[in-house]
Amino acid sequence: MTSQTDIAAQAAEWAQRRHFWNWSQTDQTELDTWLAQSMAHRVAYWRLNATVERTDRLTALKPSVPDRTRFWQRRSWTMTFRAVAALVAIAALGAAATDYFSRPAPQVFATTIGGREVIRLKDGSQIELNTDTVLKIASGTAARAVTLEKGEAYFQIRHDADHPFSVTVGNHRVVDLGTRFLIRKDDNALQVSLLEGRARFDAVAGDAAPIDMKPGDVVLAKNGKIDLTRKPERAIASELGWRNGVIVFDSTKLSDAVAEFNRYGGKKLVVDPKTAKLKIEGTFQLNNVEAFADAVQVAFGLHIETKQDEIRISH
Amino acid sequence: MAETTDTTRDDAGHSRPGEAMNAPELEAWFVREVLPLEAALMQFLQHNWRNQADIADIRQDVYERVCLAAQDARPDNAKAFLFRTARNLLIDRIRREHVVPIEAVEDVDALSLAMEEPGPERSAIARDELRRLQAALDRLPPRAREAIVLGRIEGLQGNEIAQRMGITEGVVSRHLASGISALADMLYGEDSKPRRKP
Repeated sequence: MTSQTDIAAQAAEWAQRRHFWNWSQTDQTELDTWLAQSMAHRVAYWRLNATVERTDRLTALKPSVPDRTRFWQRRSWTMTFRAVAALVAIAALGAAATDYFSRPAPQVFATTIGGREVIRLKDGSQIELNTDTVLKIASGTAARAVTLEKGEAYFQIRHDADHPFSVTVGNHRVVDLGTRFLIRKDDNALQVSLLEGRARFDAVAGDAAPIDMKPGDVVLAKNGKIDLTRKPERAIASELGWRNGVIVFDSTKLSDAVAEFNRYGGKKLVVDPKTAKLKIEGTFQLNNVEAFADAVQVAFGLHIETKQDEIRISH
Repeated sequence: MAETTDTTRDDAGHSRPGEAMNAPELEAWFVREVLPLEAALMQFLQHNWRNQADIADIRQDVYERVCLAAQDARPDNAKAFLFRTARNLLIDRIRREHVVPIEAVEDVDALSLAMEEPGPERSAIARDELRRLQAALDRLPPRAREAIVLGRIEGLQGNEIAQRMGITEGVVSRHLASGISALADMLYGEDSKPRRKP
């Protein structure tokens, strides 16, 4: 094991790289990989990252006069300091007053491929967006209504009997009754998994009977058909691996596993149809396609061909 | 995490005590609840551990343990949990290294009661925060301070800092890394009351 002293030095190297130099997607992936290696890495980095972010407030001290060369000398520094401090205090008040539900237009939240975002609502509810997802939050003080345009989101909703929380997805709607649930919308399918509480799955229009969901229930709407099945808690929890940056496979077909990985960007995995039926089990970093390909190669003795932006898996 | 989440960062109810936390939640919790206690933690460790050269490593061990536990279940009292963890860790080390008798470790419950509420971070207002940042920057070694000021205040990129200071990019990196580490020790590890240059 690396000592805490070495880890601290590595974390400082990452923190300065992250905040003071050009930062690419590759850099981010490398950092994510390092962070994923251990909690010791994460706490060391978080501490230094928070430190650099605290110095963000110093940008307020930037002088408007072009007296740059001597600026950091103590004298000019202190002179600018007082006037700016008042401005910073005012800005802080303004930021605190911002409220998601007090804005006129619906707010749109979107993640890029490989992105993830946590949205915290004032009522204590929380929504987490997975890769390539678009979510709209309605305006209005009492409205607790969101629309999932595409992608996948995990909802932890504070119950409020007077203002039920609703999610519209395509032609369907999920109304929560105090709940944790996961919704995934692919091109031609919609899946709702309920982890806790109760929720109602309903059609926006038409007269299909609503479904009252219990924990463990999974509703799948595909090609105009709606199916209700049940899954063990562990299986649903596996589908939430992305919240911790991992993908969990449990007897998953190689072709499905590859499709999962490809949702997150990075090098595209292409699998030979002849090997598509092999079953995979295990937990993988979702931003490390290469490690997954290596594991597949070792486990099944398959051939891996790595190209510029593609990895081919075949016999 | 997106900027929008910051607007509600002082809303106490994101993840609830006892709930598991994912990585972004854990980071936010750690920065919000644990880091502001670092000055008190350092004081506790310095009182209870003879070899001062070990303190920074022990502090990181404590953070690691705290976060490993908190990711499964968020403690309802971060401070009590932090100091209990620190105490247990010192006791483990004492047993392992046979250096000081166990009684030497202060009673954590008495200690955490004695510490003032709220933590420095929570009561800080913008003006005090700026003053603190300025005081901390003033105490950095001159070259490290210059590199950080050029980057954070003038908004220069690393290569531009190197040009401006007339040094190589590698040296800039070293100044920045050591400057950030020293700032962290000052901003989190030291009491928030003003102090003079050493």
